Amino acid sequence: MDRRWLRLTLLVAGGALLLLLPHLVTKAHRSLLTEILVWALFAVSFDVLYGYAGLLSFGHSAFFGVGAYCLSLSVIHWQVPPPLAFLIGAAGAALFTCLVAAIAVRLTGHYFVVITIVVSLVLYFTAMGMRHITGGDDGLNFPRLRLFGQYTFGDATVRYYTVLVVVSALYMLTRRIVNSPLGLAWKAVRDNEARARLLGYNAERLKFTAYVLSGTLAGIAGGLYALINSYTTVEFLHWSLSGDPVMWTIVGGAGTLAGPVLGTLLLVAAKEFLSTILIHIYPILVGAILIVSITFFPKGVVGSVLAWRRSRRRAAAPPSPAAVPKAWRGNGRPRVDGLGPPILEIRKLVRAFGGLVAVDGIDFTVREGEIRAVIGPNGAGKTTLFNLITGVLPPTSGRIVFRGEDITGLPAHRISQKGIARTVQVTSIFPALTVTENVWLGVQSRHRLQPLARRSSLDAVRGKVEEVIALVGLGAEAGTDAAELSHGDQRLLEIALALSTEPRLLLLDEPTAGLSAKETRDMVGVVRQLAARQTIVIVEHDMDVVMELADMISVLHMGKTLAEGPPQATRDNAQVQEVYLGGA
Amino acid sequence: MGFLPELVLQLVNGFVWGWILALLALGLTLVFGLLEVINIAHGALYAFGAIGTWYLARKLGSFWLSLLVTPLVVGVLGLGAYLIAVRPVASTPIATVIATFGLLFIFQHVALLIFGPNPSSVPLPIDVSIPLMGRMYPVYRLFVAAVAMVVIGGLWLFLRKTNYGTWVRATQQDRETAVAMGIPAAKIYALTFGLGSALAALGGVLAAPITSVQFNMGIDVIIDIFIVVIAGGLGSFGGTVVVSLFLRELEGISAIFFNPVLSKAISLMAMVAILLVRKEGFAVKA
Repeated sequence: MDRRWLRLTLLVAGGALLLLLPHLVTKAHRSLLTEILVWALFAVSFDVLYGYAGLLSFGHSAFFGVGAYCLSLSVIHWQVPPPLAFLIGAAGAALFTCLVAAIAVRLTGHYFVVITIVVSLVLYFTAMGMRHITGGDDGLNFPRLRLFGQYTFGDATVRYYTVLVVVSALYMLTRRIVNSPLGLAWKAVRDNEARARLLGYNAERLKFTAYVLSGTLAGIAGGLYALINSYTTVEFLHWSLSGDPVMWTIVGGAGTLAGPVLGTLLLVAAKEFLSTILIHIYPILVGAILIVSITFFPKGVVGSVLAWRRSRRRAAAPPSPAAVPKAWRGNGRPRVDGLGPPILEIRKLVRAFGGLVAVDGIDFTVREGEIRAVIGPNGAGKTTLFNLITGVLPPTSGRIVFRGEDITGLPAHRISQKGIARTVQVTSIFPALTVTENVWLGVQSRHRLQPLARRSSLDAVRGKVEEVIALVGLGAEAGTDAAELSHGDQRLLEIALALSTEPRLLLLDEPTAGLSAKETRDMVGVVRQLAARQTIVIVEHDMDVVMELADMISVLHMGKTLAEGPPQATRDNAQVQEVYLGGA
Repeated sequence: MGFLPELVLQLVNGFVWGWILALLALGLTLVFGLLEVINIAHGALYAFGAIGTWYLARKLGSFWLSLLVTPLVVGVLGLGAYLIAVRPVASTPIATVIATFGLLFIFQHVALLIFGPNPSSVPLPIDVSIPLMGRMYPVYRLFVAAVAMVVIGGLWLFLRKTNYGTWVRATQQDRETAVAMGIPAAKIYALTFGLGSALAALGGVLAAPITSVQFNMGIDVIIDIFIVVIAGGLGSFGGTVVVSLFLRELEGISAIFFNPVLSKAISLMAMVAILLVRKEGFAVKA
């Protein structure tokens, strides 16, 4: 309760301060505050793309400038009133961003960074060439506009309050969006794009939406800037302006919304007061601050404070009880009364890599409710088999039938939607997100991504998320960042991620690899419990685990099925013993 | 002037500037290919090369001294900047881009402090012209192309034939194995960053007498460098050289028909089109 009151008090005090501020300072500082608000919006726009979607843009000046020009040109040539001009500016920036984003999201990593720079420079040179329209570096001036009645933008107070209203409203909207299911999906793409795709997310489309929101906000900031200054110049499009939001966001804290705002406030105010004293040195100082910040405080001011507070809270909290899986109390899984109908049928499956035949005519049938272990020496074709079943690789020949339907050759995300999930040998989770957020991503991957929904109000999703977390016994760690989990817990989270898509068939690839004896025990318990809910195929090297879990064992050797049967019979099979113990 | 002489002039000019651009772009792509760092400050190092030449030519009257000394000094500067700003964040690729952006900020304002805001020029060190299609063409420009070709050829041999070159290519392919085999990867990274910086500075030295020297001249050229390295395939030696020449020739030819701004836009759009068709660029195996 304390904390909530404190937060409310701070919010009210902050709001009152923002409202009263223009009356407490000189006129010049009132204009400075107005500009800081506009720049803060610009920084937030950059952070939506960089901090949330993980895409570094050095070309945000392009959107800022397009917004400013659309507003100014519509005022000058069509004499539209400010609210309409404002909307035209936003719409123009949004359209332009769609165009750029459609090209840019197809590129990854460094190619993306470079294309953002190139686009903004091309636009700058084009605008410079079309002096008769853009005014070149002299810019375009227009008379001070009338907001309504006696209020004109010639009045610093009118400017301040107009900007305050627009920027706060957009800040709230952005906050809502980044905390929505859509915002969470952006973070998934930022943290681990490959895993997000495996969960069924369309990474290009997600990047596109983040880019469009980001560019539109930048355009609105540009429009506001033109509005309060009554002019626009080609310099707004210049690449060097793109550097400012990068700097403010990095210093303030990327991936938070308070970060870019605070960073803008600190650096713009510092520039205002320091540049009179250190006029020549100041820009050099800024470069140094950026380098120091990215080196020693990569999370920025706000991110570092949040991390510090969290570590303190954790130190204060009593040690969490050992992660005992909730299910690991009974004496084993409720045995299914006999096995169900076939769920997965594999017929004469072949996969060749050039001359090497990794899978050479495997046949096997898994029945509903079964735990099937697939074992065999290294190179037997176990992982290739998994890749074929999940559509990561197309088979050379043969058929795969899942629940009576031929799924041979379907792409991975379609097979995932049919109800087959898998874990991989190398843990692949979303490290910077909490356990809850990780699982949430899996659960919501089967729903539409609502950009304005509050996650806390989606009860159905929440219930499912809690159920899955409890199932793998990570309840005590629900709020912990995945990166901070122990290796064993990360493997459990990996399984929770696979489970969260509600698969009918779960493929586990060496779930106990690298686990301690105790962690292995926990894992066995979890797998046993899961078997009550779905069919499991497990690749495993630890024979104790295999013997304890499996209903049936398939032994692969050189891409062929060597033996198949219940654990005891398989262990006594002379051929199997020879493969494992003697030279084959 | 007739069409043919104009065409030949533009082709020769495009050839000269193409080789300068190739020097700059190779510096960037060499660093990217090995360290996977995009050095945004690369253009500023080019400006340093030109400003250093302006300084030495004015103070000591010798362009030739600058040709020897400036690339070396800027190379050492680049190496130091790498050790201070880039290496500490090398594990996060996106952070290295931001760090080099901080360097750009610093470099550019240092250039402003030393050089001032006004453009200046450096006299031609070889004041001889030869007739070319009825016009006099400065020999120095041909000298520039020759130097750039020799350096680029030497660089190629260096990467192919020397120990260092083999180490660079080995580390590029698999850093962990390279380190396990005793290749001093950390040292190679630093030296390569220095080498890339020196190439940028050499481009600046060569260009100083035939362009206007400005403190922010790196900004205009960096766009071309970026386009060349992505269209040529990041990290590709041959692709970089081919695309550099192609871009400058295309610009030269279209300058006959259109005004300079439009011809710039045309060549840029051609590059973006290439990029859209082939995401990985030409990526000529070299």
